[in-house]
Amino acid sequence: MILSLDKVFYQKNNKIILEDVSLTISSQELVTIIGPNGAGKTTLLKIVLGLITPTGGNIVKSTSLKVGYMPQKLHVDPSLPITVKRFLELSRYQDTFHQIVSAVNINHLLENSIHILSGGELQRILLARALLSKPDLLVLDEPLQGVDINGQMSLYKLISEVRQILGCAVLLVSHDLHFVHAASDKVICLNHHICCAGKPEEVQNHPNYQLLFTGYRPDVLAPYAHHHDHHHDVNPKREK
Amino acid sequence: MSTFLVNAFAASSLFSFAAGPLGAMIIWRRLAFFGDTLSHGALLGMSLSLAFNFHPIMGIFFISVILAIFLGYSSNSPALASETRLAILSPGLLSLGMICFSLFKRVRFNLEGYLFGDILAVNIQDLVSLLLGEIVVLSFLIKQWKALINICISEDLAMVEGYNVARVRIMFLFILALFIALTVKIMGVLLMTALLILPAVLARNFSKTPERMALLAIGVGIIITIIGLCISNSYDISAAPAIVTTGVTLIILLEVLKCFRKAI
Repeated sequence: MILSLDKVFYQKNNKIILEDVSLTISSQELVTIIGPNGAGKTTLLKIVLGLITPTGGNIVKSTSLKVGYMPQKLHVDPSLPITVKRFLELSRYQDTFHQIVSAVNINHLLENSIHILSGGELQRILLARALLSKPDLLVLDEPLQGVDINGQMSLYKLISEVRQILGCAVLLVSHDLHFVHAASDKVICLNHHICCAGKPEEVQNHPNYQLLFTGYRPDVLAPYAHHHDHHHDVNPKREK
Repeated sequence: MSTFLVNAFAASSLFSFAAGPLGAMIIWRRLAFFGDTLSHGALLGMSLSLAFNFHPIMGIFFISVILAIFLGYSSNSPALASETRLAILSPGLLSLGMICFSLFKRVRFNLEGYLFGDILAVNIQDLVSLLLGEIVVLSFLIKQWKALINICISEDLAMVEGYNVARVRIMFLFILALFIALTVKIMGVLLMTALLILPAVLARNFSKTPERMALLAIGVGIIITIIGLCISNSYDISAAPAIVTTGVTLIILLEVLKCFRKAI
C-alpha cells in the first residue's frame, strides 16, 4: 500500500462534494476512477495530491512517495512565450529528460511553442512533465480529454508502457462511463460517494460486450459495467 | 551634460533593469490592475508621510505592503471578480490620496511631480537607495525565477513538484510593492503600470521563451526611457508621459507593420 484514504469527506460552501470515500492504492496498481461530470473526481485527485485538505477523514501516504501529476488541462496565458523544451526544463527533475522525451515520442516538438500544440500533443507533453520526477504514483486527470479516438488508444498504450518501465502506480480519472483502461486493476465509480468498485474483466465477457464494442481494441479499451449494490432516489438526497 | 541629466539617465536605466522582468511577470500573472492599485495607493502613502513627517518611501512601502497582504490573501472571494474589486479600490485610493494631499500639503510640494514623477530632481541619495532596492529585487527574481514561471503556468503543478506557491506569490507582491515605493518619486503614480509593462509587451513580439522576453524587456526599456528622456528634455515636458508615449507609439508602429506584412 502506498496511499490510502479513510472515510474522506470534503465540503465546500455547504455543499458535500465527497462523502465517506475510502480507497487504497498499492504499488504498481492501476486504479481508474469514473463518474459523471461534477461527481467530485478532480476534487478527489486534488486531495490525493495534497493540493486541498479534506474536511474529514484520514490520508495515509508512505513518506517517500513521489507523485507525478498530469492536470486535466493547461492554460498558459498567450502573453507568456514558452517552448516545449523550456516547459519541461521547468521541472525540478532533469536527470531522465532524454529518456522520457524519447519514450513519450516528443523529440520533434521540443522547439515548438506550447501555444500551438494539438490536444494530443499537449497531453503527451504533460505526461512527460509528470514522468520527469520518476514518480511512484502517477496521477492522471482525464488524460483523454480533447484527444481523438486514435490518439486515445495510443495514449492509453503509452500509459501502459511507461507504467511498466517505471513500475509506478497509476491513478487515472475518466468521465467516460463506458470505456476504461483494460489494464485497470480496480475501477471505482464515484458520484460524491463510491457507488461501486471492481475489476473490469468481470464484465469483459458480458454478452452485450462483443455486440456493442466490436471495432474497438479490447486490449487497450474495455467496457466497464456497473454493479450497483444500492439504489438512488430520484431526489438527490441519498437515503441511508 | 548637466548632473541632473546624468542622474536622470542613471535612474531611468536602473528603473528599466528591474522593470523588464517585473513587467513581464505582471503581464503573465495578469496583475496590471493590481499594479495600478499599488501605485495609486502610493499617493496616499506619500501624503501620509508628509502629514506625519517620515520618509516618503516608508509611507509608500507601508501602504503597499498592507495592500499586497490584503489583496494577496483575499484573491479568491467569489462575490466580486478581482478585476472589479481592483477597479473600485484603485480610484478609491487615488481619490483618498488626493484628499489627504490637499489637506496636508506644504508649499514646496507640487502635485504634478507626484502624479507624473520628477526624474530631474533625482539626487545621489535617491540613486543609492534605488541601486540597493534594485539589487534586492533582481536577486529575488533570479533566485525564484523557476518557481515564478512555474506558478505563472500552473500553480497546481508547481505545488505538486514541491514549490511553496503561497510564499513565492506573496513575496512577489512584496517585491513589486518595494519597487513601486522606490521608483514612484521618479516615475509618478499615474503611469507606473504602463512604464512597467510597455517594454515587456514590446519584447513579447520577439521572444520564444520567458527568459528571452524578460531580458529583451530590459533592453527595450532602456531604449524607450532614453528616447523619452531626450524628448522630455528637449520640449520641457514630464519624463513619464514622454516615455509612455514613446512606448505606445512603438507598439502601434509594430502592429501596423505586422498588418502590412500579413497583407503582403
